[in-house]
Order: sequence, then C-alpha cells, then structure tokens
Amino acid sequence: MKLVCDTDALIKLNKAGLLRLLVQRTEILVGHEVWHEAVDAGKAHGYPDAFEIERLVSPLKRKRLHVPAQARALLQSRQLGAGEQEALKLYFSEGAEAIVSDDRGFLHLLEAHGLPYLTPTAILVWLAEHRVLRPLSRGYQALEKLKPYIRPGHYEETLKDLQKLERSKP
Amino acid sequence: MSKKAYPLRIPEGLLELAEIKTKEERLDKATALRQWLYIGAEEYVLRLLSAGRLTISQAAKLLELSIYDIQQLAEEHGVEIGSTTAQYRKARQTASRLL
Repeated sequence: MKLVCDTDALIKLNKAGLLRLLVQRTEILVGHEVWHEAVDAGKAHGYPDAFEIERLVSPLKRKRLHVPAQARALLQSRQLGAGEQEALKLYFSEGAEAIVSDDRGFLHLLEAHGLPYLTPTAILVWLAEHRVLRPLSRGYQALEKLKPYIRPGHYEETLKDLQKLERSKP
Repeated sequence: MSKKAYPLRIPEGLLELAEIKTKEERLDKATALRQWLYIGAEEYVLRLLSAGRLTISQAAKLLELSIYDIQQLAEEHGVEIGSTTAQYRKARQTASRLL
C-alpha cells in the first residue's frame, strides 16, 4: 500500500507517535519538497519532530515524475503550495492509494476531484480498530497529542470513535 | 524576508503611536510600522488558512516561516486549522475501504 504524505500530516502523525507504526505497514511516499519542509526546515529551527521524521522516512530518490495530463490540469486549477503540488504529482506518478493530509483547503480540492484522502486522525482510529495501536489507551494518548493541532469538533468526533471502539471491545 | 519599497499614506494617529513605540523599544519608525504590518498579515493568513482558502504550505511561504512555525502560530493565536469534521468522516470511509 502506497500513501503520499504532505508535510503537515507527516508532522502530526509523528507528534502522535503514529508515523512509526504506519511505516511498518505501508509505503510512505515523501517528495523532496515535503522532505525539505518537514526535515531540513524543521531541523534548521530545532524542531524535534524533524529529527524523528528523518529517522523514519526517506525522500523519493527519483526527481523526475511522470505527471499525466489530468493531474496537470488539476495542478493549474488552484494555487497550491509547493508541498501540496508535489504530493499530487507523487500520487499520480507513483500510483498511490491515497494522500494523507490535514489541510482543509487541500482536502477540499482532493474531494472536489474525487481523489481519496486520509487524515492523521482517521489513521489513528484505523490503527486502533485493527489493534496495531494497543492497548486502546495509547489511542487516547495519541489523540491528546493531536488535540492542540486539530479542530475541537474533529477532536470530539475522533474521541467518540475511540469510545465506540472501547465499548465494542470483546 | 525580502523587501520592496511601496508608497503608503499612513494615518497621523498611527504615526504618533509608532513614535511612542520607537522610543519605548528603541526601534526606527519604519521597523515599528513593519512589525504591525506583519502582525496583521499573520492574523490574516491564519484566518484564510482556517477557512481553507490557503493551504499550510502557501501560508508558510507567504510569511517565510516553516510549517512547524505555522502550526505553532495557530495554536498560540487560538486559530482552528486542520481538516473539518466532515473531512474526517470522509477519511474514515476511505480508511475502511483502503487500509
């Protein structure tokens, strides 16, 4: 399974301790621009997550990406940052299953074009559901780490899903 | 941050206020005004980001900050950024289908 990650999602997954679990189960595709934003820029400003991300993922070696005509039109349809543009190019050129992002504007664009996406919280719940993240208390801890960076309504929904899982536990 | 000259009419009251700031903080007037401009720009960028009209990568580029800085700035200002509840629901459906 190939997943393309943008910088914001990469940082949030790492903050929640989920990136380590995810790289063991999926191929996380990170382009050079996202690598620069998440690792180089982060390290330059002393953000600890940047060092951890560097340890867990590697940037895609190939620099030339084949971008189909459909994607070229999409890339021109709205102004995107360099990281999001690259994530889109990677999605198409590498035949990835989904893009992982937590950016409202970027996700809106993906949805408008029917492209599959995942959020760090959806991954959190999925990992808890499939008992990769266990005991369930680790799921709650991961969510608390994400709390300052997500919308309150989004936090509440994720919490409800974790509580539902807890109730349905055999 | 790279700078360009731009002609601007500034209200007198604001200039008087800038004068106070220059004395209290030992700055020149242009720096004081630029600081206010930047504070306003930060708030505006965060508002656009929150509304989904800018992406975080664009926000970082416009303010010449890192993505980490933008996340921290939003937290400090109490501005809600990130995906919406509806987007989370949609992502949950995708996760059940794909993963």
